Amino acid sequence: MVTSITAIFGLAAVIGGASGDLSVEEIVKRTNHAAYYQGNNGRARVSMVITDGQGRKRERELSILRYDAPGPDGEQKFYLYFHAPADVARMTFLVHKHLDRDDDRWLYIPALDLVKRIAATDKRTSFVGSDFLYEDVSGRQLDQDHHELLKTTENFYLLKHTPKDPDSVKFAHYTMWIHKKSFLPTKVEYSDASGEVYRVMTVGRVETIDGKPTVLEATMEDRRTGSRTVLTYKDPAYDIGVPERVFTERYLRRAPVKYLK
Amino acid sequence: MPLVSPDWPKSFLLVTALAAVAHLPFQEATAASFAENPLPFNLEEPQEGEPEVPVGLQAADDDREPGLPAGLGPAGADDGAGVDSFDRSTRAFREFGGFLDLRSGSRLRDDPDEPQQSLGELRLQLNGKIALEWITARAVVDVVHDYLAEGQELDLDTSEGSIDLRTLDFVVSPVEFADLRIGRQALTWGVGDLLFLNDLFPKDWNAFFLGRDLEYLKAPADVARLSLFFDDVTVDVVYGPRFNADRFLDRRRLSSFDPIAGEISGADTPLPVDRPDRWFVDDELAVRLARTVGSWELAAYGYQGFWKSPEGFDPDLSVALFPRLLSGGVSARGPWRKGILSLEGASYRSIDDPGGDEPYLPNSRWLFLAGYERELTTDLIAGIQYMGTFIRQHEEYLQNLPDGTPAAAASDHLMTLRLSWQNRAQMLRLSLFSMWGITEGDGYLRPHVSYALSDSWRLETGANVLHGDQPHSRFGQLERNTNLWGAVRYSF
Repeated sequence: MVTSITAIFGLAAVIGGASGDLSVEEIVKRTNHAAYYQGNNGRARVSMVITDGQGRKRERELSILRYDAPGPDGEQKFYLYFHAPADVARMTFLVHKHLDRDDDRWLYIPALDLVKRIAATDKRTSFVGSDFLYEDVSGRQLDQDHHELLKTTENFYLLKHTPKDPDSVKFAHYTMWIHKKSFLPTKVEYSDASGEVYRVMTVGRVETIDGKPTVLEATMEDRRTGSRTVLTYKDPAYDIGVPERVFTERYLRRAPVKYLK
Repeated sequence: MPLVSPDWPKSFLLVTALAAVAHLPFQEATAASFAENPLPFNLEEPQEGEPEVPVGLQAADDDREPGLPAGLGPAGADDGAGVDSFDRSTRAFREFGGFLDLRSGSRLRDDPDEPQQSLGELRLQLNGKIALEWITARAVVDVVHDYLAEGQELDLDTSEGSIDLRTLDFVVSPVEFADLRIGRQALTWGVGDLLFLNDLFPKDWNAFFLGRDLEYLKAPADVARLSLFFDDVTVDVVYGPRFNADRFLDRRRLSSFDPIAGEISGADTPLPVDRPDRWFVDDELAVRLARTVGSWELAAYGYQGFWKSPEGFDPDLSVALFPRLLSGGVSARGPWRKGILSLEGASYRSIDDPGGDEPYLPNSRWLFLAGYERELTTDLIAGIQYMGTFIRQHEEYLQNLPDGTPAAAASDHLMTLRLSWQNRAQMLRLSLFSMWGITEGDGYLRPHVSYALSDSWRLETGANVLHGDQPHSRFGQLERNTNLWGAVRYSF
């Protein structure tokens, strides 16, 4: 369910930070920052349109709050409030993202007043039934892949990432076209062992919010199933002063309207 | 409190950076040389150790280079148009919705005491929520046509009649660190999966065993809930001025053991009950202290009120009773070996039977629960639980038991297993919840299939398979109610 968190919140970057030549690790680090760590906290309203291989459409709408622990890019907390579809409306979802262990995730079901702890630890499962994966939204840990710079063009760095543990994921590698000026990944392609690209993320629209280039539309396409998800972020905002205490059981039960509005 | 030591992100980044350096193709390279020579890769002349450029990037790679997305072009970077024009008023938290749910079920075994059809109802739920910064108000009401319970008078406590008021409450913060929620609401706490130790809020066991949606397992309670959020601990105090009983097994719908007759009875033999219902006299108080330590949630609980279902019996009046109950307990829940471990314990003190020698009142007891849930493979989750119940004064209980009354064992052991799976698109969900009464030799299977045709339409089917050789055991008494049900729901 947490896919769009990453995409939306992570997609802002420091403009003008790309002067000079950079090492691969620096590019990876800045890209990770641009994609997931812009500002110290933030908010967005996300809508997703999922179109399956037969052309059937489903929609998801949710609000997201993000909080970054002080210090270098690391711990994060996310709060999700679902608006649609109707059968999940008013449910809330809380994520405490860790780098050294599995994330903590809770789902709150208001009809039962139930705070459910989510046991799933596989981050490569669908986010709210879309083509985005949990990992696409919350970020893949940098040390899980080998990173290589394949080429540099006028506008992009082309990076290739190969998993250190190939058995842990379905892809053999993925490549990322990273916009040099903003460090936003604008196209990500996942390839299988035969080299065939089967999963593609493309960024459709970027706007500068509070000085931070921010992805407002991204599409994930699953070429094997023919399914695609278009994710749009509405009204994103950074550094709106969301306190850490919002990311607790209290606000699972009672939406923090002050910050969501 | 901080979740992790503030030092760890630094050390993580250091490790990450070292790992990145270690895996670069140039083993002789240093961080300094990267700064001077940041683009060591040359696609025309691969360096030693560098992987082959993948197929598709060698010749035609330029074709794959994406165009600049809108907003990253030369003129677009500072173009903020469209963002400020977003109408913030549309994100106001005024939400209305509901569903229409048609549901039918049938008994799979002969039950001489009940009709073959176990469920047949059309239900319209309307819900609304208005959330402002200072107050949130909610209302959920069901309008039900129950084909098997026509002509019942409206009773908002038991949900009889055509209206079931599920929620009508509001929450305010009298001070910044407190939430006060007043009104009709569902409440849940504790860590069991369909096993409740310290959660002594009302349940609807008829809904549960007949195949209504799981949300109906929780019957609403009319209470005031004050939650105080201190730095290290959260205190919840729930006060119900009048006893909120379970919607306990109703023989008009589910045949069950009749202690008077000493056998299973059904619709023709309704259970007369004496429900405590005096305002501010027959009241209930539930308290929870909770805190989080790292990823672990710890809690302590207390409850003063009544056994939630009529577990006592007055032989003179031939009426079932809700004896008084005092309970306390603790729980812990957190990650362990790639899964979630849950532990809970409770002590029930039967206030009306302090010596344990009242044969028609429930004895005091200890309850323990241990549960573990984890992902077996992608989208497949398994959960296992053990619950033990230990009667405190079993000898006194046995000594005073009337002849011919089946005796409960001193200790009762129950295991549950849940398997749940969903497909990648999360449209098809399968789950199987099973309970095995080790001591009583009975069991319960609860398979459930849900398929979302679209965001609005959903088809569901499930069963409640109950078995047991003894007519008085937990599931054995319900054996004849084994049923299969199906539902179609339109949500809006």
